[in-house]
Amino acid sequence: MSELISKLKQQIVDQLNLADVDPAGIDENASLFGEGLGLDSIDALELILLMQKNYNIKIATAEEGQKIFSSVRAMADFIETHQKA
Amino acid sequence: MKLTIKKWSAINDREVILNGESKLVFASTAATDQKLEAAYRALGVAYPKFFKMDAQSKLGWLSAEYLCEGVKLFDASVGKDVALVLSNRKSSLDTDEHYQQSLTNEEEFLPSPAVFVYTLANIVAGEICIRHGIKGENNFLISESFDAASLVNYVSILFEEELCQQCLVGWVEAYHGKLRSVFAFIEKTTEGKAGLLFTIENLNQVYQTSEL
Repeated sequence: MSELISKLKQQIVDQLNLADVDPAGIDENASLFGEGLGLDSIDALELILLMQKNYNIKIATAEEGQKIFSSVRAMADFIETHQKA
Repeated sequence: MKLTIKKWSAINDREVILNGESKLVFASTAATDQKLEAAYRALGVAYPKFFKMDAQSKLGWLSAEYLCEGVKLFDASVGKDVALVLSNRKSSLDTDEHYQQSLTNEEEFLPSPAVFVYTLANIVAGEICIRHGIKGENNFLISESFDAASLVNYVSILFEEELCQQCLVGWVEAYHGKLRSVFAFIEKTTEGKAGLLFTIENLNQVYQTSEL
């Protein structure tokens, strides 16, 4: 799991062009939107793309997306569950 | 009504210019992205969204930023009295082409939403308005070449009709690695205060002075 979290952090920084953000400094439990990394609606679309491109996961509904993208850990949990299924 | 060019900034492939003086010279071997990043780093400001912009928005954002020398030009309370009038020849063609290429990739059809949002020329105006709290009239004009006559005419009407108290006007274009911007900060002429009169001749001179 920790390996997946590290990989995800790097992928988020790359996909969202977070040039001055150190992936290791991202708190995997912190919210990605608002207070945490301060991402916006376009970033949300880029995260959907990241999941599709790297993990072949399609987000079905906005509600599901809200849950999955609540934090890096939530993303990693969802990927792991998806890969086991 | 007499108007004055209070300050002007320009960025080309070689340097950043403020009021005719070179502020930063780019490394001759630097790529476009590296030049834009060097100009950003030299300002010493923290604005993470800069890195998400396309080249043209970065160029316009930097031009406005150098004009303000890293300080916000306007108080939020006067934002509605500030206008922004920009122009160029190729609209957002650089990013349009980039996005078009991503659409034609049949093997990996995953066009980026972050690229798509910059496929409009006036997005650069939006980025500048957000940064400086500008809420007044804004427009982006497309012309074959730098059209000082139209810009002076348009901006003069904005002042005469009392639609603004201050205005940023200029040219911004990033295309195939070529950078060219000229921004001028315009306000009503105050007697006794130094400044260049906002005339077609002077605006053309500013544009030509900053040419490579």
